[in-house]
Amino acid sequence: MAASDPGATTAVELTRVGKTRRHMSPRRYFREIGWRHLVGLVALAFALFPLAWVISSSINTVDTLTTARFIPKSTTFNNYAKLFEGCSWDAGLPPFKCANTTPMPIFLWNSVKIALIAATIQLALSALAAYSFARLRWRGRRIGLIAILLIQMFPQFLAFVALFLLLDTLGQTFGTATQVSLWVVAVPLAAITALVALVASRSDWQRSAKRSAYIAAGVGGAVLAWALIGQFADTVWPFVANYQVTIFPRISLGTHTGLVLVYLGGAIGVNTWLLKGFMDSIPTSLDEAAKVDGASEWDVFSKIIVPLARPILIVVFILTFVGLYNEYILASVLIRDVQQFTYATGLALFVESEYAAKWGQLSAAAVLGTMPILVIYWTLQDRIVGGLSGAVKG
Amino acid sequence: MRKHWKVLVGLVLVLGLVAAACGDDAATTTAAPTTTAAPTTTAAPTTTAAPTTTAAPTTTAAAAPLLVWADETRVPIIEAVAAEFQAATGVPVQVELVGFGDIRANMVQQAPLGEGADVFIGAHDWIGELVVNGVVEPIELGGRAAEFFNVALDAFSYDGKRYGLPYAIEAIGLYRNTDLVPDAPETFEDLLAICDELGDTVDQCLALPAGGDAYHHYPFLASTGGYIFAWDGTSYDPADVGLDTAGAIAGFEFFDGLVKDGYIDPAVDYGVMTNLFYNNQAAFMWTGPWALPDVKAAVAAGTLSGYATSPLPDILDNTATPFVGVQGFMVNAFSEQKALAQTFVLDYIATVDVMTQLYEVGLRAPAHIDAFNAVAADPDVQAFGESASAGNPMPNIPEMSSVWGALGDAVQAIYTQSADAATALATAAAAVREAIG
Amino acid sequence: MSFFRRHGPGWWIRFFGLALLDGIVIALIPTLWEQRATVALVCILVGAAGINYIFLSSRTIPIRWLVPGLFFLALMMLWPIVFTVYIALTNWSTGNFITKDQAIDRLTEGGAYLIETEDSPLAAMYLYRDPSIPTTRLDPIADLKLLVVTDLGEFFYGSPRLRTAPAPDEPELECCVSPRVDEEHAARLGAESLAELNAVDEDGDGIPETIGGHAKLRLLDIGTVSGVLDQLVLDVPGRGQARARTFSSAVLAEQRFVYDRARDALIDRLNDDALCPAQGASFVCAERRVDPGWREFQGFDNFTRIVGDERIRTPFLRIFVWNVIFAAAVVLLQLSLGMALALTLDDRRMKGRGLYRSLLLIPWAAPGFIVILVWRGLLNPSFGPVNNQLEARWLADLSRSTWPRWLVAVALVACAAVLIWMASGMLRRRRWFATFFSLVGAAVVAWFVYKILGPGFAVRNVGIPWVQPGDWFWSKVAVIVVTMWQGFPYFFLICTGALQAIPSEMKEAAKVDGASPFQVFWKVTFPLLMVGIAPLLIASFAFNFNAFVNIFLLTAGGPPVAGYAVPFGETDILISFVFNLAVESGRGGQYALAAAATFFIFFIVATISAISFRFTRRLEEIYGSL
Repeated sequence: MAASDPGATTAVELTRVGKTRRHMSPRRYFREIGWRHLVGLVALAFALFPLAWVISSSINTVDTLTTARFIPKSTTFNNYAKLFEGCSWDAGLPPFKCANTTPMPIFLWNSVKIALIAATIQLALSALAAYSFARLRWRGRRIGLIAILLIQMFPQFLAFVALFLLLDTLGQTFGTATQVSLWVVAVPLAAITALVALVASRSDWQRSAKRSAYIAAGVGGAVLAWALIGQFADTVWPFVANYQVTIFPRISLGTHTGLVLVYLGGAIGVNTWLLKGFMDSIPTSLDEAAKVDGASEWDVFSKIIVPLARPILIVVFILTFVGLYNEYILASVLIRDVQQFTYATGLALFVESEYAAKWGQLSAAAVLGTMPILVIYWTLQDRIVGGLSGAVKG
Repeated sequence: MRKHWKVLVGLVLVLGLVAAACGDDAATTTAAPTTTAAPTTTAAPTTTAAPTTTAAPTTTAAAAPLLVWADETRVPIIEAVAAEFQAATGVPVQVELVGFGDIRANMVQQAPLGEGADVFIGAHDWIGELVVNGVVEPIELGGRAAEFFNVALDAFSYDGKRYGLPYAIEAIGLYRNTDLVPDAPETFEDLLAICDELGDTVDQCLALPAGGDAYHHYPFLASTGGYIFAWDGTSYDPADVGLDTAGAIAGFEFFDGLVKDGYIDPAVDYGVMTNLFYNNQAAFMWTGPWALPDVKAAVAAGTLSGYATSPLPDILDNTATPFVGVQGFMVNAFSEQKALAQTFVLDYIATVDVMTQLYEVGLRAPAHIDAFNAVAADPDVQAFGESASAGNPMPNIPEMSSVWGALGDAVQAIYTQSADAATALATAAAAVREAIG
Repeated sequence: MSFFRRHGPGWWIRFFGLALLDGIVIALIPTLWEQRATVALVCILVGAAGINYIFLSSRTIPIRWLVPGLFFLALMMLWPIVFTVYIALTNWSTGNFITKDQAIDRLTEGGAYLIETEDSPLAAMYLYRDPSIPTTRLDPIADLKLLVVTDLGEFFYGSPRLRTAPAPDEPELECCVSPRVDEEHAARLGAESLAELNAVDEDGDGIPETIGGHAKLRLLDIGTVSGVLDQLVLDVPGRGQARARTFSSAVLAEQRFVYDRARDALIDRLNDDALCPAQGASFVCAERRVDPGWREFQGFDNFTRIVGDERIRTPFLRIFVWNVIFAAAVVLLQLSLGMALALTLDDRRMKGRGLYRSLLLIPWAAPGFIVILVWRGLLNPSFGPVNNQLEARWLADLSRSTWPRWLVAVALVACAAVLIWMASGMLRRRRWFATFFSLVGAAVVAWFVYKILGPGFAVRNVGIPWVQPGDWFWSKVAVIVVTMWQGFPYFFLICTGALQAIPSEMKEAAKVDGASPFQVFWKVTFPLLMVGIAPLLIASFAFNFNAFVNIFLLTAGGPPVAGYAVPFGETDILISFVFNLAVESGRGGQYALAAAATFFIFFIVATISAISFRFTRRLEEIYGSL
């Protein structure tokens, strides 16, 4: 890993991660690690200095983005306060309610929610596709992958009109959430899960699969029981009797569901190639060993490939998350109600025209908006390391 | 196939079950009209959701909500009017916040699909594109036209019909730092003399938003006789482009001189200009009334010592002619409730009260004569009003879209000193003529 | 029960999943049929059939893994491409936006082409209804009556018709005769005054509250008729038609145009019933186009226009070359910086790596447009900090100061000493490059010391014209640097992840064989990284080829290029150039042309990418996977 000085280290020192500093001379420290910190600091300075200006403009009393002075003449935290003006806690989701015209906390909530859901599903779709390209042999694999990449390269400038029409049409078919009473869902569910449990009991599936089937049957039975009790005791528990289950959410213009579905269009693309490349580097001997033990393709995928590909999966998740979080064009076309806005479209509200922009609040919003990304990255970034070194030895 | 016939039988059986279950709820899955979403407004709770009025019996024909698009500054006022309208007529009004720059494109694309607002605010130069696409409906003012300034009404006219109810008139003027310049300069020569006097004591004497911004530089073109499209009293003639007339070139040569002599710095864009002025580093600022709220805030914060406004100084002995922009309310031609929309606009918005409120949030001179007179005592209103009265409305024909880029490039050419005034304007005029075809 | 034994849980999941899907599709069919959405219906059926086949046939097992992703790809990516093709084949532009039926509707029923009657076109209007009929069963035609009161005191009262209904040849009203209407029509005006119809005016304002059993609608009742108000027309003999303007006023006017379906033309009643035939996506009256026109299929006209248009062809090569240079430079710089940082920070022993990584992500994670605008301010030639620092006023000030000068000089001399000592160490170890760089560093420091203590730095007016207004060279540099700054964390992140895939055994083996750190990198790490990342580079190139947002915000296309008939800038790329052209030509908003241009640009990018893919295949063959 580290470019080290041959002959100047001992095996003992190399294995004591994190503690070797105490045993190194300052000269060696600088040569091995110190220069890395230096480079890192210079890179940080290069990367962050414009952001320092954003922070400066966010605490500036004067509303401006192009200031020559780094430290403003007079400072105020008013811009941050105005973002939260009129907001109070609320029951339900989101857990707050805002009454001002640019409710930044709601925008952040919406964006994080949409980006998390869409990135997770995108990752799943992409991983499935990558496995197929990496491990399964079929004709036209390479052509298929290149074709997918080429499709993603198409300039999507009129895409927003097309997708607007698509969601408009979808909205006319799925415009209201499909809700059914609990009965309608409980009976078939119980019947199917009972059937599945029956099948499981008489088959030779693996024990974990049988266990899942029995648990599913148990859940189905419980839901049925709940519906039954509700029906017969509706004076005591009216809410159960009248409980409506949403089996299909509302998909139309202006809904988050619609937006998430549109984002899923970008699931297989460059990320798939990246995952495929990583999966290619996982030795097939592991697969073969598992198959000899009777594993199916799905088992290989879920129990071997996915855990080993964890670093790249996390990287792809973060990349996707950031991309969706900051996505502006589709969100601005498909969502019109301000309460449903995402972060990027919310920011645009501050800059309606170049002449009437609220730079101070915009900068404050930009600073706050970067936080969720940093938090998510911070929590996930130490799982990027790891990978193969342990597995290959086995 | 043989292997799978059992599968198919099973599928069909389960299909029947599932389809039956879903079929029951066909009522809930059928097409929902796209406007049933509960009206969500963005301001104080007093104006949310449609209450059922006590008087009128509500029926299935009860009014679909009237949809209004407004930008952030004006949404609160329109919501108050909406509440009044709702109380008087029982029809709910849904006010949606849409960025000013997005309203035009949204209307053009979405109105024919039935998704556009019934009433929307906009600028007068959008009319050309909107009329030509059949998206906007004429508003018949009748006798009430006398309540508004003619220039505002003319700005919203296209082919002899009026398409908007104006509420604000704007034109650029001259801001000055009263600490450095106590009196307004009458002519440009006076202004330059003041600048020479101030010398190095100020970072930038005349702060003008440089860059390819044809809007702010129009006075240099028009004051001396240039024009964009010839106006014959009722309409613009796109075949007659006046960018390269002698008058236009004379004005631009004057502008070129200003750049050469260093009075105007090409590095000063809109953001830099406001920053300099708000921090006492510029003596003059060349822009419009939209900056007033920020200027007043800068004075309040103490970074700017004091300001005053005046009309633009005379250019080469001609009264300065800025672009006049008019904003107003328009009605969607594809709306299913045009009469209702016009009722809302003509009976509830076109009142002195609302016009004055719109002035108070935007600080642009009201287009309504009575409202204007009520606030005319304000020196800023007087200054910008005087500037506007000498100005020309921006041509509202769709061919104007070819002009902004070409004229902007001509201005930029002067700033980079890559062409002289005559060549730059000749290129621009040729480009416009060729683009229009 | 061998049936159960034969099928594992996967089979059952597939079975129920397909059943659910088919059930949903079947449940949708009646709804779609009602709405006549034939295209959607066909697509859904074909798609469902395809999915069923894929999951049931044993030949398509690998494709099953792709189905969910492909489904969304088809819906959200392929459909817009198909739509773009469709648009490119039409004449969609300003003035030709709506469908022909909509245009005809606007022309024959819209307010823009109403000819108002000459005297007093505006009138007050009141609606009356029979209060005994509940509003849920109100027939707007049979149960509503209109009273129109002109400025001249005329009263017209009668039953309205829907505007879509044909106008009667001889309209009749219930009331009232007016001296201003000519004799020919007077006979059909009904009663002499409203009193004859049992009108009751309680408050004496001249407008009766009830007329013969019909009660006047109050403002609060507007909701009951708002849906039909626009459609009501009262034919007034001799005066035209009264149409609702607001709830309480009407306009007396006639429609200028009538559509003749047989001849596909408008009849212009203002000009003696002249014919305005449909020509080329609009009606033409006396050689002049009547707006609005409509969109219609135009075939490949837009494509030929793009290829044949002088204004596009002339600067094309120049813009294309810059576009390629821009995209390639950005990708290479981003990759270099990202990879270098990933390698540098890839040491387990380094503390705070997580912090570095998180913070280094910020240029890419922060909202693009605000950071670009900040950069524009930073790069301002006269007022921006970048130029201010380059002018190094502070350096001039330093060299003229007293004791700070000496302090800094002493510190610098110490640095020089350290560098020389390091150089000697490197020399002993025969590290030539390291020695060279250390000596150069020491020389630079020495020169600094000399300048500070001796002649001093003069204030130089660097004033590099990055942006605003910009310069043909520096603007390009600015655009590349800013885009590089924004995107390098992406490659940093990817390289960090990809580095984990390189087993340390290979590197250890190389080291054991005596390779220097640089050789380990160049011969082992780099090729393996490249194999994995190469497609990413190509995709990134394609993305940056069309990334005009940064350029637009930073330079708006850059300083204009002089001497061309069509306006474009130094930093304009193909897509911004063509789109500007489309938006600014003619009457603007030429989306069909822009759509056609999109294809050409895609073709160019796809060709470059396809060629690059062949190259990466060669790479894969050489280095393969492990």
